[in-house]
Amino acid sequence: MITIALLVVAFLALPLVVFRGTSLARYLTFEVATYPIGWILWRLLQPDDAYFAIVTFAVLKLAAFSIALATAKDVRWSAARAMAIAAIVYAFVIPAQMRHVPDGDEPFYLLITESLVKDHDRDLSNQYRDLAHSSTGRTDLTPQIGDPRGPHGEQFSRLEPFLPIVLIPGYKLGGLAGALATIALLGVLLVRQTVRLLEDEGIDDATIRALFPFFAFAPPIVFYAARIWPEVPGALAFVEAVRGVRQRRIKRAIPAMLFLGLLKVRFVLIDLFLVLQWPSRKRSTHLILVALIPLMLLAIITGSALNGHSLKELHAPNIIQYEVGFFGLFLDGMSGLLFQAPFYLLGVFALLHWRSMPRSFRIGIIASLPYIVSLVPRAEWHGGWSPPLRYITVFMPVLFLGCAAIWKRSQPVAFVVVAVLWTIGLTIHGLAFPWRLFHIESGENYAGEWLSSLYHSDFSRLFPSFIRINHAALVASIAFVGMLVLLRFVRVPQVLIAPLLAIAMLAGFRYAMQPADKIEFEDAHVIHNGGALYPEMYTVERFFHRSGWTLKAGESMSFLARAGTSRLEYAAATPARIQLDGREYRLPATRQEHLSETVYLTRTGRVTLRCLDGSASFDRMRHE
Amino acid sequence: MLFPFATPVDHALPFVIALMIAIAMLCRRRAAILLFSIPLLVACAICFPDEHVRLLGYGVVVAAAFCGASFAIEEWTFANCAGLTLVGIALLRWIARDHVEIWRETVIALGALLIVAVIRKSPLAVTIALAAAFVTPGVPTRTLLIPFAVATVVAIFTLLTRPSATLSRRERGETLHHAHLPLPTGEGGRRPGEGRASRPELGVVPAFVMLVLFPWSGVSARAIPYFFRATRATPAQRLAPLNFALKAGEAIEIDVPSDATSIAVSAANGFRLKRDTFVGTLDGRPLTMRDLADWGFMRREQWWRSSNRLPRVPAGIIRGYGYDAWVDGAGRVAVPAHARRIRVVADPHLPPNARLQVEAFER
Repeated sequence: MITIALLVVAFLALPLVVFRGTSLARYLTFEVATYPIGWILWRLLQPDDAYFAIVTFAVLKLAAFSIALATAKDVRWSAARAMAIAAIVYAFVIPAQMRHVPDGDEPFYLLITESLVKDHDRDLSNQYRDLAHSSTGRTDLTPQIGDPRGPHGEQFSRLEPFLPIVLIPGYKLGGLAGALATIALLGVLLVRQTVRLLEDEGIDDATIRALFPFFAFAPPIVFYAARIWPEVPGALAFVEAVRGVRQRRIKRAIPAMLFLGLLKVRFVLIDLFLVLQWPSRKRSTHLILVALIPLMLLAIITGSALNGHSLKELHAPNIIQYEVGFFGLFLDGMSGLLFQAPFYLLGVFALLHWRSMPRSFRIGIIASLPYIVSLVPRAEWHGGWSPPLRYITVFMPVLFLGCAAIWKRSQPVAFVVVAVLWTIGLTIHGLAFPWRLFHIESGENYAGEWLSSLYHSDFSRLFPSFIRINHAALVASIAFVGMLVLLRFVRVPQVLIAPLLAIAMLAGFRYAMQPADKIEFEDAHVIHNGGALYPEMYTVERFFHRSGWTLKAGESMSFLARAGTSRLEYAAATPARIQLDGREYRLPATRQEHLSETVYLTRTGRVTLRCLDGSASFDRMRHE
Repeated sequence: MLFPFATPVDHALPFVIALMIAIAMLCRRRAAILLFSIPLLVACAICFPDEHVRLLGYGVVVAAAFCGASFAIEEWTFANCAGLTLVGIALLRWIARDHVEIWRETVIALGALLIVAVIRKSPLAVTIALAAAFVTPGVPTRTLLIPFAVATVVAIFTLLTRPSATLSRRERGETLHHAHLPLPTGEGGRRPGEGRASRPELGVVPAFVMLVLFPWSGVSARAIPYFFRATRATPAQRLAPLNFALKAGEAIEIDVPSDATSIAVSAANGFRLKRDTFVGTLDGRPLTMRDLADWGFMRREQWWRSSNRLPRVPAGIIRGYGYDAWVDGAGRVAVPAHARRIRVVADPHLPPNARLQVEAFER
């Protein structure tokens, strides 16, 4: 009840920050009207999950406020007011995110902070021994793979220590909540400085007001604004550095670049290309300063200038991996812009109008290139065990600037409405279920899994996956390039977008209800009666393994499949006997590799695969 | 069949989509935004297999589009108001019905358009016209006068509150003095009174409430509190049916299942009984027509003639869709705690053809 009361107060405060006169009166009338409507919907739906319902209501109200902010006439607007709005909203994001314990790298950053505060050292050995008294709330932590050990048996972390240092004041004041509040504070500053960036580049207030909620209250920023990752502080440093370079103000740029490089050693790559765009005769001196200071500090603190990283990471393995990572960043269903932050695709389209884009946009994009080029061929381009878009969150201010420039230029209303609807869904989902921001790299995403489990049919194949590459990924890549080319020269009538989207959804639904050509046995559409996921859920870098579902004698799974010949791919330590569609098959034992067995189905529809004898891990079944 | 769900409202989805296109056309420049109600309707159809949630999802999308149009329509002319009103009437009265009596519906629509004609053109005018059409059952025939009566009241009210009628003599003199001047134009080049800024917020909430329940508009028109009582009754709550109909003075003893918490009771041929009429007892506790109602009192054909109202704790189940939807008159009465056997007695003074019906135990 206290949370609801605070929400009501917050939603009353939001319009007071920006609206005046008639706009304020009209919005407050609307504000009051939303509560009876909310109550009516509550009684009609009688939701089982009250928290989810409240989050949904709050996010929808925030969306309504954002629309009013974009359209109201009597508005007082400035970067400081944007910051105040963000502060109010982030105050609620912190408790929402605290429903899930720190995950991914977060608890390790916090452990370093704890060690710095309590022991005044970086040795985490005693922290691992006494996890019960840690603010992380995690008693299952063990050193990460690649964590260095000291000469006297000290256990260090491979993570850079600067973020934990930044968290110290907040941690001392409020433990975990204080650490999260520190990040949120930096997030609030990020919002302010991003608005300032847009103002510097001559983007008008109306455009900024219309679009700023996409930056501040939408993924990925909103999901990183109250979690312990270096992405939001990094984005703040990046935007300040870009502004500094753009305005030729070295006193602004150098500290920001140093901050950026200290947060994460990979960010030094960004610094280098920022300095290279420096219009100054002292460029080489600055270059050395900006690049060397973070590396030297790291070398002093951790004993390694690259902190466990290697220059080999910059080596390109092959061109295919570049393609996978590149298109994955844009289109992947689990970690690509298209599905996780669609609004920022406008920033990608801004690249097509390079010459007419704001100077800061060009500076930022050029600075991001070496980082992106080093990121995309890595197997972990998607961010690993983290909220989506981890590695490119730092560039969001500049992409946002590109989006604003494109909006100002062509006002693609229909695209933005699609982005709004999807973003509202993403925000509700991420705030109501923060643990779902972390997803195993299985080639599925939550939307696909949810629909698949609803209909027991493979909906995940509709979403492009570049982690486990599927047909949708190929189609989406070609369509994406085609769209980029097409939209450069052709303007699609806005009124056609919604009907076309509806038709696409219908066609997708009908297609997804048909049995798939390829059945991945670990996927959500398969009904598992016993058995276990292989490799297990939290296997480190699980995406390197061929995954599947292990069945022992007596266990089974059923799924929709097509009639005719298929190849069943599996691994088995000992020979196994299975029954599929009423026929028995003997599967020879495999060694390290997977084998495939030809199977035949007499009919299209739901079939059951039962393990009669032995045990086998079933990877996939491919129709021929 | 596009979707695996098969209620009449699902079948009517193409018609609903056509109505959404009509709304979007009224919004002209903002049509592209309003058209997004179509993919949202499709999304509801795909994502919500639970019937109640899905139909409510349609309702929310349709209501949001309708209310959004109140903000998006640029000029409130008669054509726009009439168009929006007709779309609202179509949603509330014409969808998912077994049998639409065209002449009755035409008269009701004409009445609603008359309201729009006599009132200042605004979203509020649309809401009033829609509300009049919404509460008009159309049976018996005399109820068709409701929208016309509303139009008459509104016309008189408008006449009395028209600015020119309240001008003082001095102001009238000034008006006459400047009569040779062209009339000053308001915002958007419209004349005063014609083009005053509309306040869509005033009409939004009632319009939203009416439209959000359009899949069961019959129930919401005749007994909207049903939706807001503590727990909505569902067939799943009911244990094995009892189906006893007790004549005046008859009694019955029934074993109470261990998981029963209440019993659903209703009346047959009791739609004329007044609310305080005593109809029987349950283990000695009196039952009145406040606790239950005639089983079919809410059918469109009977509702106007009935003296019944929604029971204190309704246990009725929604039957039908659209404006034909109704809720049976069962009321929920708590079973005495730890009772193993209860005795239900019909009052001896019940009318000869009336019955006290014991329908089922409930969880």
